[in-house]
Amino acid sequence: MKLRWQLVLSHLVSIIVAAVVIGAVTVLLLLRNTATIEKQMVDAGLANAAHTLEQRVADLSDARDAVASFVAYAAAIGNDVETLGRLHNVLSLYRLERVEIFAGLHKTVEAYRWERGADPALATAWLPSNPSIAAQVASGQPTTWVQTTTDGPASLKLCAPVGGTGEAVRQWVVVTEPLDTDLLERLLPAQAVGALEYNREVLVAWPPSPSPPANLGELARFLPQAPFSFLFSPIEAARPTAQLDDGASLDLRVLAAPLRRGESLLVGVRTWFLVLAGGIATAFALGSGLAGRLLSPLKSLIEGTAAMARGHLMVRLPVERHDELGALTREFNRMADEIRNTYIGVISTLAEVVEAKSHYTRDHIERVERLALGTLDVLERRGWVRFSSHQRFLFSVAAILHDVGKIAISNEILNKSGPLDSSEREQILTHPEVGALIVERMGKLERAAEIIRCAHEHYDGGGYPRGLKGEEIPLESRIILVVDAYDAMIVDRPYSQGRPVEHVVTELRAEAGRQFDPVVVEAFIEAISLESPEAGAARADSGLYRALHADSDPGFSGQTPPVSPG
Amino acid sequence: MRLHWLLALMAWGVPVGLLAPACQPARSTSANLVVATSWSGPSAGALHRELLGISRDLGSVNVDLRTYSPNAFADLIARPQPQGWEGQLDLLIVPNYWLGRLAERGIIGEIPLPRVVALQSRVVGQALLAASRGGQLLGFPISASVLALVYDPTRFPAPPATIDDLLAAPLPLDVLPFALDLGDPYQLAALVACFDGLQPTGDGGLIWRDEATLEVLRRLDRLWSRREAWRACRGQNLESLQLQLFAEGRLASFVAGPRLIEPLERLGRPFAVVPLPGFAGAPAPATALVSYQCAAVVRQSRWIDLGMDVASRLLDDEANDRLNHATRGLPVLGGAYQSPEAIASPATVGFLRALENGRPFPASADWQQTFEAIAVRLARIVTRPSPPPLDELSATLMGRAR
Repeated sequence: MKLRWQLVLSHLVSIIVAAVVIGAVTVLLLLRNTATIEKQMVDAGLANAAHTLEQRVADLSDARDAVASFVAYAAAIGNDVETLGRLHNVLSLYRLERVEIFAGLHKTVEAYRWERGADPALATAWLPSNPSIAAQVASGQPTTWVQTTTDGPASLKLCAPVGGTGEAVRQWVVVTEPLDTDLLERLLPAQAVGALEYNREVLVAWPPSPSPPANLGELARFLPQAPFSFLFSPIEAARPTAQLDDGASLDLRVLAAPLRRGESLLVGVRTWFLVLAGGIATAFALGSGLAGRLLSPLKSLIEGTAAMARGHLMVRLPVERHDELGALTREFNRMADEIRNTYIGVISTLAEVVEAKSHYTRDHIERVERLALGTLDVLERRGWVRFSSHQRFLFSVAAILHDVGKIAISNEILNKSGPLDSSEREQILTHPEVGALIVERMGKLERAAEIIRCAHEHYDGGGYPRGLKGEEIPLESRIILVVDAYDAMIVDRPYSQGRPVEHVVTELRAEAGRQFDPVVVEAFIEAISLESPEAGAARADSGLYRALHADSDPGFSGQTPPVSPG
Repeated sequence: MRLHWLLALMAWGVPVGLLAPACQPARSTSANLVVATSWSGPSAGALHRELLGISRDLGSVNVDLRTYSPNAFADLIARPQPQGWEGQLDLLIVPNYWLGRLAERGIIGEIPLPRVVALQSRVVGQALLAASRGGQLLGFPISASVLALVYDPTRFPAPPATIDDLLAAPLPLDVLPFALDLGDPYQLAALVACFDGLQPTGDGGLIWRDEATLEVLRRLDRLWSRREAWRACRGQNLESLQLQLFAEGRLASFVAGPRLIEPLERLGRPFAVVPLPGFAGAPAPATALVSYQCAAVVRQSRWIDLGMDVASRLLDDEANDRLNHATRGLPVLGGAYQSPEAIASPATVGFLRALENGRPFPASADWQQTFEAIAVRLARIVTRPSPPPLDELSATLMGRAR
């Protein structure tokens, strides 16, 4: 797997693991907090319901006492319309459903509201069947109990004797509150189901069903549903409310759906997945970006190394980082410098040998290189060619060492002032091949060797050693041929006087198409016409030959400017 | 590297963009219909259950029921503020006689013709007429209420033909022949109609003639000769008192609405229901006013079509039956009159006949004001501990109270 994808994968795994862990913890905390809040809300709703019921019992107690006072101070209590009317006023005032007045075991009068109190099942069965309650009633004490029936709603009964305890107790007032679904619907919190229990048995449940449930769990099917709420148990809470005189209590029990937990889980999971998706995208982007940032210098190093392997001795990588990769790049540049210096040392030695053997001066080699590069510049400017720095380097090497083959030719022949015989001529004709072989054996300079090999080929095929012509001859060789001829004609020799430039130019043009490439000749003429003495000096400073000999000159760094591979 | 930063930005931007709507309450993307009513108790509960069922059927619709006391609701709707509740409430459940005033104030509008046509095929014509004004249907009638005479068939083997027959019946001394709520103009209106007390006006309203009221009270004068009768016809919690007296056999007949059918049946005492009879020799028969509960869509609602859909669904056969059973109202669907259960029940048949013979409560603002004014005048009478003399009654009713 590529390093880029390893980095991306590493980021992805890290972020997914982090998101999963953080998300799971967050969702769990969210659910725990929501469960606490839900429980508190249910408890609060139940407390409110219990308070409402207790308040209702207190109101019933007040109503009972009010009716008892009315009965105590009324001139006569009978079952007449006037009394009934007064009792109905009390019903309306206290929102009572039913009030009954007993004299002994006989019901004197009763009044009930039509909405709920008219139900015959709510009529008080006098005396209460529970002996302890009956005894308490008979003893003249206010009593509260629950009356249950087989086929009607249960009811809460509040009884009070009429008159003080010192008097003969003959009359009782009983007020009734139906313990039915209407009451429970008013009491229960919204979206909750529940039951009112008496002695741990369900008296009435909400919502109503054909048969009362044996336990609260049966009501769970009525609870509203929300996404994911089925994963959680309903919230159950119970609270005792009214304490009855038979020792039992009325208990409210509610069951609420875990809607908020379901919603929280939905929001949590949704958020979790969205953050995870964002995290994955971010991990991909960051991993890819970091990989690009890390791999960019590595890629340059790989390409630089490959260029070095191909013989690109001028390669130098930019150092843009200050980390290990920057150090690696610096070390690469140092290694490239060492290799390049080794080559330069060899080339320098060979150039010195040629200088020493021939009667060339350092100026000749410098001029040839400078004018060759100048001609190449003109050709590039005209759009004929486009040379890379590596090609220019090889061109420079070839220009400097174009006559290196003369090492193998005896000094007598080289320096002979008279005409050469055929064997001497044959020996002279071998020097391009010899020079090419020398340069080839230096390694990585095959192209320079080929340029040197062809540097004496003529455009019309009349040159040597192979008689190539036209485009078969490398351009660099054609340039070197023109430049070398020019330099030979303008420079004073021991056996000849240097000719004026105009004459040389005329001569070059005359040989264009025969000995020289016409395009190269014109480019060369432009190059020398553009060349001023200052410019020539400046150009000479930048030539490779200048660099070769600058190693021994104080003040010259010997470093070539940074060049990117390729 | 810019591309990578762009990618990173997108990587966060996309989920945040997705997350933002996801974190909003789910309801924000669905319609939120607010229904307002003055119903209370089991009626409001039944309405709430039906609305929840409709909400479930419609899908992404949240229906919120707001209940007000009748006075608070009337005050809310009558409040003349430029930016009031109109933008907050979408559907109003109101009596049909409120529709005229609401339409005059531009709060509600006409129901589109296609929906009217659909209603005409299912809803009884009287109900649609009662919810109309100037030929425009303003609301969806969903339940009806009418008063009738509940009588004891053991006391009256044949249905009483007139009030006078009731009053003249040979009953035991402890049995009152007849009772009604004198303070309720709704009850009194049926009898007032016998003496041309309700005169139609051009805008579909009625004019209440106090002379006719006086005549009704004069014809009932025989009843007041018994002191307990006065208490049985006025005071608090009167329906319960009358029901109890009837259940105990101490009241032979009384004026009641359909909501007493169920408690009467539960009491086990035989009873029968007939349309309210008139007076002997009166120029016109008794004509009870029929009121309807209607669903009207607020014109400024964001969900007008949805509001009309919800109102239409309240008129589905089963939903309307459940609603009327819980609210003890009478159905407005023609099909409900033809069901075997309706035909088999003498009480239902009696009320349905009263509904057919009745006069729709006018959807006129003027009539509503008239009705409230007569209620105030009647209240002055019924607060008396004993029946006032006729001249005093006359002065009170004519606004010349001493």
